[in-house]
Amino acid sequence: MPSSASGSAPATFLHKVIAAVSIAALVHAGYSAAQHRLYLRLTEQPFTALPADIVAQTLASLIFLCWAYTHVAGAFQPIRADIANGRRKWDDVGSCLSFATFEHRAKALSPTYAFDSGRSVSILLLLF
Amino acid sequence: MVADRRDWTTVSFEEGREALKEWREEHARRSEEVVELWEHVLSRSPSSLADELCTVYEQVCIAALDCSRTDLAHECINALHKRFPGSSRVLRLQAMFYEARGQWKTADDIYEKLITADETNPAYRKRRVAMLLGQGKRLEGIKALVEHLESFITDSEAWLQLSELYLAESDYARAAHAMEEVLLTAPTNSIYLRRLADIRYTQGGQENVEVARAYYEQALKFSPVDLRALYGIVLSCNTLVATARVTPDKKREYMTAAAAALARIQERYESVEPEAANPEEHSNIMEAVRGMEIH
Repeated sequence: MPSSASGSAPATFLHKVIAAVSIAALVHAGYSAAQHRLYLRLTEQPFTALPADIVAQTLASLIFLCWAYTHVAGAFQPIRADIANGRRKWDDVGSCLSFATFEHRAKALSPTYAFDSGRSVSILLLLF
Repeated sequence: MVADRRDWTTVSFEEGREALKEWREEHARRSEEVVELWEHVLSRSPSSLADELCTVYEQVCIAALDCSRTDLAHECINALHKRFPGSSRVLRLQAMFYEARGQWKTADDIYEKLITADETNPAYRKRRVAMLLGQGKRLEGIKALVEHLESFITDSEAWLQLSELYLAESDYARAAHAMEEVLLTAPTNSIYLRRLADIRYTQGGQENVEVARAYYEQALKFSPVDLRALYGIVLSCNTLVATARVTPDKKREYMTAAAAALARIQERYESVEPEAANPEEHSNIMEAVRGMEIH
């Protein structure tokens, strides 16, 4: 379905800068967390929780990244229904095969019908 | 009937099998070609079809009935009966066989029995409606179909057929309603959208043509290559411009929309057949397209 949620505004240079900075900040936060664990191991302290500044940096950079990247990625594309249906023709779509009747010119064109129609053929395998 | 008609007697076995499968899945009514394909290609070695064989027999049987090839249909039914004695699906084919021969009473008796045995299967009820249509009793057919839809309200094929029947009776309002029901099952299907637009446009009157234009626009959105929808937009906009009760603002809007659609039509012709290929025909087409513009 067409949608113009957050991708309505075109991507600006600012959005790209924010996206790049947030990626860097996110990587940095991960690196900081690893460094913190290394420091704890070297000083032989037990691990309880990550420092608040690392947690805050992770969350903030993640949210900024999500926001900026939706702009960088551009507007949402409508789902292409024509790929499924565009190739089809009304001849096929509107044929209603379950309701097909056999009363048409084919009887006149058939090589066998005129010969057959005089006889009352019944296929003898009715086994109710 | 079919634009891309080709000679099916010389294709390879595998190709023929693929073609049959495709038509089966698309519900295409290509009976003559199915029979041709079966007789010239596939019947040489039916056993190579393995699991598919029974479905192919059923398909060929219906196609044969559609071509009044009683002999072939008989052969298919016999083969299927040997494989599945007492099957209701084969029995349905037999009933269709009697239908094709005009032995309505016998066919109806079989359907009656099948419906009593399996009340939830819509296929037999649909055949009974088809039988009424085959006998030319269209109004009775409509009545039976409406009754059928009361129990099977989500049957989009039945709604589509109902719409066609109302169209044959020139009852555009009811046909449009039935088509709306079809559309509900597939809201992004551009073909249904276009069909509904066609009905509304035919119905006429400012309100209906406005609705038709909206449906054409929607159809075009889902299928940007839909030339008929483009023509629909041009025609409905031109009609609306000519109506008395339309404000100058609206009038300008319609004219812009029509002009934009015409530009896209020209673009499309250009892409399908460039001017260099056949300059004279090209200029004729462009002339005709430009002639639709209102100034």
